[in-house]
Amino acid sequence: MACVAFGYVLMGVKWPVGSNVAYYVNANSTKVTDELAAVQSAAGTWSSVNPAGFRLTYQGSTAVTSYGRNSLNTICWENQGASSTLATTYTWFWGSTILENDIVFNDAQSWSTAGNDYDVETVALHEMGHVVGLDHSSTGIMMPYYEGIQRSLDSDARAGFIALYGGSGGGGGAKTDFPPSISITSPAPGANVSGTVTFAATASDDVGVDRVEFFVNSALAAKDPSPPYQYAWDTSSILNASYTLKAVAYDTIGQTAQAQITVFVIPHAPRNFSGVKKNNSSTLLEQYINVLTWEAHDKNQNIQGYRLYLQSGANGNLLQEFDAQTFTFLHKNVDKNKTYSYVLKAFDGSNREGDAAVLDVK
Amino acid sequence: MNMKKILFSALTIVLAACSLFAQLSPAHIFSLKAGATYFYPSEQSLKSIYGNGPGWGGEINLKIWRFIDLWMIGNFFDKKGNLPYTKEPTEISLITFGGGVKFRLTTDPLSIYLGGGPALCSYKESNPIGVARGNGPGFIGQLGLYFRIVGGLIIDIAADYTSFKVKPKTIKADLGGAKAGIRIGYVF
Repeated sequence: MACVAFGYVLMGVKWPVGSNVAYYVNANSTKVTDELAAVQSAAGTWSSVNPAGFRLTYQGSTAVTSYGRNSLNTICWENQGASSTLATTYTWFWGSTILENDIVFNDAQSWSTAGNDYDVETVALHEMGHVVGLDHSSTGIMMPYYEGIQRSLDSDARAGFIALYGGSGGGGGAKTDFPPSISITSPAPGANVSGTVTFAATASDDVGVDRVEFFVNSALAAKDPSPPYQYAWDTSSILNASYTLKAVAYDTIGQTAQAQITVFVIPHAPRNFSGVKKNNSSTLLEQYINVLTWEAHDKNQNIQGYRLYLQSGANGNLLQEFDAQTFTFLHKNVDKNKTYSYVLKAFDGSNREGDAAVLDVK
Repeated sequence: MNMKKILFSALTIVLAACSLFAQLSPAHIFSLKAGATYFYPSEQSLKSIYGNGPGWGGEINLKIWRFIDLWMIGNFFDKKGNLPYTKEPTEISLITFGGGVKFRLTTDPLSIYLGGGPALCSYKESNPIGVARGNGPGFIGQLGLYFRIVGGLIIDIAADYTSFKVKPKTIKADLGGAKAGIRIGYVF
């Protein structure tokens, strides 16, 4: 540890300057339901000090329920018993460089985001101070005891941050309007999507977020001036392909922050999937056939073929696979009195199956 | 194909017999006939898939008392068609045997007759769905006339009606129908 005159204490380890540290949250508290927003707000507070020097970016949810070295910075709630510990930050480092931080909130404590009990955002702000590289100090947010709600950084904490990652306004200096922070909460990075997709982001700013703009492949798709910041992205009439989704947050003086992910619009369902039962019996031998036909979707590209599944209860069994030029199938020897449920999907060159066309043939 | 050879051989024998007994005056005690038939099936699916068509056959008659003959007949019908939806090839073969009693009036050189009795149909249908084969009982009725040309040589025209209701698997069908035939033969 290195003590400095400002009243902050450094742990002696830190993230490289310029780091954009991704973190994942398992919002599994049994005491509150909106803990994710509180955690994101705390992360936004630290990130706003000097985003170019260090920032925390929410990358999505995680299923982890405790700490552990897995190269992911995770935050979760775990029942650690009725001790006095509110939360713990675990740090893995090499030399003086932090490699990973996990924060575990003690779910046995009484948590709140409404001002009573232990305030999630306050404790998150404290624990993230450890993530930044600050140790406990005798004043401000980094005090080792909970002393009520504090959702903004005190001058010592800010000074400690600036000492580690640069920036202005340290030492309890004048108020500065810092840039906003933003992260995309839906869809998940790399997700396969179809239909109408909720493109959502969380944004925060020390003064206020003016709006969030949503871009699809660099084209402005929507603006949302108020939370929850989201846009209903209709993928039903666009080509199945990879798309870059970008969300840009603007604060009240035009400062921006952006987050970007890539998703894939899966192949659309084949059009006009239809079927009829036909009698193909000869004079003495009975045979009924379900004649199935479909058409290609004009917004599909790189289709390698189609897969036909026969539903049996809740399960679907692959009945037949076709090439991309086949648009009919004779399902022979079907029971003339039975209803058959079919699911047809196109798949592309990456073997990515698309939306289902569903059909019942009586 | 074998049946065709058999019928052709039978026809040859009849013609040889004709030449041998041409000078004899027939007593209409025994007769042989062979020739072609044209089959009109009763069953709708048989008609729609295979249609009407030619067959082959022959018969033997033996006088037992005054206007009464004992009578045995055999016919062969084989035809190819297509399944109704997939148009895949299908084939059916029907071999019928029947017999019984026939009532015949003869005013030489013309004879007319009417007969009937039990019959048996041996069938086989094969196509991509599978194979159905078996035997089914039924009956046959026949109405006809023949004209003695010279000696014992006759030309015969007859109409048959048969019915064979079978159900080899799940479908019940009548493999009979009407037949029109023209035959040549010899009476002794």
